[in-house]
Amino acid sequence: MSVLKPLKAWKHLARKPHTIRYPAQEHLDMEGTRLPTDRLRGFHSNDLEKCIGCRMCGQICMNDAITYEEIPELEGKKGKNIRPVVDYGRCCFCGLCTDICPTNSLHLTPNFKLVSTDKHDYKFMPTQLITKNEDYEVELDKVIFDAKEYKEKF
Amino acid sequence: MKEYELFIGPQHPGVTGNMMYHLWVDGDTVTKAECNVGYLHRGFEKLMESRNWMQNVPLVCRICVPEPDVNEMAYAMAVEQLMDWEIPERAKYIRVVILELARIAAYLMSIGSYAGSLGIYTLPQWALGDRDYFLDIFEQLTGARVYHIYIWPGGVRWDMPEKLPGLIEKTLSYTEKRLKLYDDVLFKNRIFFDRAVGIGKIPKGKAIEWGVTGPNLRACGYGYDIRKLEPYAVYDDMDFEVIKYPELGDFDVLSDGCDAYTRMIVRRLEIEQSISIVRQALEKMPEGEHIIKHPNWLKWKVPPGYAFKRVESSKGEYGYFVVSDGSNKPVRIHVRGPSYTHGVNVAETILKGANMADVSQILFSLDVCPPDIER
Repeated sequence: MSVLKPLKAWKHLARKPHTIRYPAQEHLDMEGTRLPTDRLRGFHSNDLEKCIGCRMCGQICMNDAITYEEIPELEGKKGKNIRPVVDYGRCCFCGLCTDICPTNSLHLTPNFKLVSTDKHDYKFMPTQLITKNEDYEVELDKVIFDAKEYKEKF
Repeated sequence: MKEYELFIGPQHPGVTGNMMYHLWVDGDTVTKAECNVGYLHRGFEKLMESRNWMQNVPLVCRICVPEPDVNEMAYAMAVEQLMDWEIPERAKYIRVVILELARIAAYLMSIGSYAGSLGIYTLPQWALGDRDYFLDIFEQLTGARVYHIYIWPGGVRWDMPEKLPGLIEKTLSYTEKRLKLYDDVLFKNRIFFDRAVGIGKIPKGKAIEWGVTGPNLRACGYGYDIRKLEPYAVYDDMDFEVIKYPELGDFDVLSDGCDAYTRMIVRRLEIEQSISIVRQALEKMPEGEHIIKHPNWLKWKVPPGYAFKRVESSKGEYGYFVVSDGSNKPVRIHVRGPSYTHGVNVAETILKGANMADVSQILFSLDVCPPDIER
């Protein structure tokens, strides 16, 4: 038992705080790796050309976050011309939809940043095959927020 | 003096979460306490009956926020027993690593909030800050910081990244260093001795009868730990001793056990125990598969029967009773949570006669997790 030992806490005055000034300051782990890593479960990305519209992701989703919209441009390709639309107000980022995907077109990206005052912005059709941490910041602008905006790449 | 009523919670720093205690107070002394819950009720047990076997995995972890992995573990073990699956060795070791890391993170949170209830506001800042380093590990291992959804029936979701053991070791040695400072500020602090000794006593003879488990029971002197009694995963391979009153290591035995002081010291010592278990598991971890192949989740049918599996969490004993009728959904899942006994009947009984100023430290020393009460 000691009365003076608790005063050791004063030496923390000279220490850097745990708090980081995100996003101005990078979030690093103890070894200096930039977080989030590729494994973080954030927004989806879906390769619309690879996706066959099999509706498996919608069936396993227990929050009913995944609905489908028809894309006429994809008519005549393999499978159906419907593609998943994710409601991020419902999504719990468990990633069961990506694990059940038979073509591996659906992925969860490490991107989790989306700020909007309009609730409709949180329901959109994920596009683009973003699988690596380095890609996501560049590619987010290209994500389709409305199925009607979809235009075929080629 | 006239008796008056007092409500603590649901939004009050003196209770452990979204729950309320209704107190009847005479002067400074509590004469009656009633636990009032319902703010977090989501009906997990009923919900699980309408979801298929795999859809339940992201749901069970929500039963305990500070330490979600124990729920995934108990559910996965019960399903594995029904399916008669033998899971890969490597998966068992990874499970032990994540369970123990989650235990440390939960204890840090518990110790931090307990210190806050004594008015030592330094420790909550430190403990929650240090817990964040464990969340960084979880983020890299499981893809999420809080709800990991990582332990699946049949193994673990992903293999451990190659460089993660290095980060875990670094975090553990950092935590060991920090624990010495925690001792100076809380566990060997005069304020702690004066405030916590003899407070919130659970009668030793009644502890088993009341269903007390986990660190709270070990503080009463019973060496009851599921990891030893009914070893799951690879706990039988790990070398550790159950920490119980009166074997408190470097710490003084100041009372005859069962009080807030002993409960917190047991938690403090179990952090070191968990650190040693994580190190052993990382050292002995074999190479190989991490999960066995699942059937199609949408058509996955589990053979009829029932299974009951228990795991040891930082709060106490978790038990999952799973009944299957051979369809793709469970018929009934019952969760035995430790916080139900600690937060409702134990707290209501031991709060009687307590001083008003001690109420929050008694509640924090029981380490109650409200979502578990309202399953």
